[in-house]
Amino acid sequence: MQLVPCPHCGPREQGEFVCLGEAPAHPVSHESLARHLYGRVNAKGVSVELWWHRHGCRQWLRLPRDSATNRFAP
Amino acid sequence: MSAYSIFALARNALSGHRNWPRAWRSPALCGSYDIAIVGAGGHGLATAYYLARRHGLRNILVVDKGWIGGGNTGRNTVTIRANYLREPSIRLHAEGLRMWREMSGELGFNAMFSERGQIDLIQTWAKLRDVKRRQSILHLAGVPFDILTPREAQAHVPILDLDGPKRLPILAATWHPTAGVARHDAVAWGYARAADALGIDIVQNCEVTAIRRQGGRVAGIETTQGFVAVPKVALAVSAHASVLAQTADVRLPIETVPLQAFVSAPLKPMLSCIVNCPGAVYLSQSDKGELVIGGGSDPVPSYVQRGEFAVLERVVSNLVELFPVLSRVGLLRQWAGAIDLCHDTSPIVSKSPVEGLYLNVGWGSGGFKAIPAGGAAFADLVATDAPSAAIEAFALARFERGRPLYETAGASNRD
Repeated sequence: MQLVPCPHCGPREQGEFVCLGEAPAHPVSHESLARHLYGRVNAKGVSVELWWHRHGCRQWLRLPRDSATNRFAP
Repeated sequence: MSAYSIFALARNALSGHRNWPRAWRSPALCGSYDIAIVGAGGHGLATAYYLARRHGLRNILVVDKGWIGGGNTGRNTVTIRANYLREPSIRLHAEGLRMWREMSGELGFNAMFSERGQIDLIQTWAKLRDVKRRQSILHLAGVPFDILTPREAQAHVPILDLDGPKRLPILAATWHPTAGVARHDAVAWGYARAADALGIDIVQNCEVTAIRRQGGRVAGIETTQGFVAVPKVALAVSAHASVLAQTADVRLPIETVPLQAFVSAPLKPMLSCIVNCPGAVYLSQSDKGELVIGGGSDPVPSYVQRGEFAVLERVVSNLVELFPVLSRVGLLRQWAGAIDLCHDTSPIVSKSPVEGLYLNVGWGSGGFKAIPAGGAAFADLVATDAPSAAIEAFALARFERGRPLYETAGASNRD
C-alpha cells in the first residue's frame, strides 16, 4: 500500500486510485484534440473516405468520392 | 406594411385581387451593413426579425444563394415538439412551442400552426427505457409526455394495426399532446415580411462564396454580387455550414447527410396526430390530405438532395407493417434535404473562434421546430455578443471542454 500525493485531496491511500500505467507526454491542447476527434472537413466535392466491405471481403478501403455528385472518383 | 385582415381581403376582392402589395421588397445589395445573416431560411429570417424587434437593429442584410425558404425550411416534415432528452434542448423547444402558438398573431401572417399531438410507438425495450427516462426529465421541465399502452395509442391512431404479424411487437407508446405541425413556407414568408417591414434587406439569388478575415476577426463576405464589408457575420446555412466556416478557417464537428421525405396521394382525413416510430418511420397528414412521411437520415454523407432508394424502401416497408391499410396508397413525390448533422446531434448556437463570426448550425434533422426559439436566441447572441443561459450548452467549445450534448430524440438518432 502506498500513499498517493493527490494535488487536489492531499496524500491519500492507494486503494482510492486506479493506476493507468505509464503516462504519455501530454500530446496536444484541448483545442487540437477536439479538432482531431470531432472536426470534419465535410468537403462538398471529392474527399477520401473509409469504407468497410462488411458483407464481402471484409477489407477496409480508402476510396475517393464526390459528395456533390455521389460518384466515386476513378 | 398593411395588415392582412378580413377587411383587406374584401377590399382586394372588389378589385379582383390585382392590387395586393408585395409582401417584401427586393433591394439591391449595398456595400456595407452592420450585420450580415447568411441563409434566408426560417432561422436566418427569424434571427433578422428578432434582431430588429428585440434589439432595435436595422442595418442588417439577409442573403441567400437561392430563394426565401428554398432550402431545408421547405424540405422538412414540419414536426414541432419538445420531447427531447437533454435539459437545454427541452427548455429551448418548450419555449419554442409557446412561440409557435403566438407566431401567427405576432407576425400578422398565418403560419397554420396546428397543435395536434404526437404518438411515438415503442418497439424495443431499450427505447422504452429511453422514453421512461425522458418522461421523468420532461415532467420536471413541465412538458406533457405520457406513456400509453398500445390500445390507448390506437384510440389516437385508429389506422394503427396491432393484430397482424410484426417484425417487432409494439410494447408501448408515448403521447406528447403539445406537439404540432405548421405550414413551412408560411413560416419563412411570415418572418421575411415582418423583417422587411422593419427595414431589413433580404437579397435573394446572391451566393456568399467566402468569409473574409482580417487577422482574428471578420472583415466581410465575398458574394457573387461583390464584396460586402460587415463586422458581424451570422451563419444560418445548414448543409453548407462547414464549407463556409472553413473559408474563415473554422472547422466544425458537422457532417452533411441527406434526410429524405415523401408524400402520398391526398386521402380523406384519417390521421389526427403525428405518429413516430423511432428509427422506423414517422408521418402526419397535411391539410391537403397527403400523408407526409419520413424516416431516418441516409447512412452515407452527401450534399445531394435526393436520398438513396434503400432508405425509402425500408421506411415504406416499416410504414406498411404498422399501417397495412396504406399498402395500396401511391406516393406522389420524394425528395431529400441535406442536413448539417453535428457529432452529438445537438445544434451549435455559438460564437466562433473568429471574432464577429456567429454560428447557428448543426440543427440536423430538427431545425424547423427551432425556428422561433433558435432564431430569437441567436439574435440575442449576435446583438449582445454574450450567449444567453438558454444556449450556453450549445457552444462550439463544448467539444473542447469534453461536454458534448448527446441527444436521443432526433430523426437521425439510431438505436
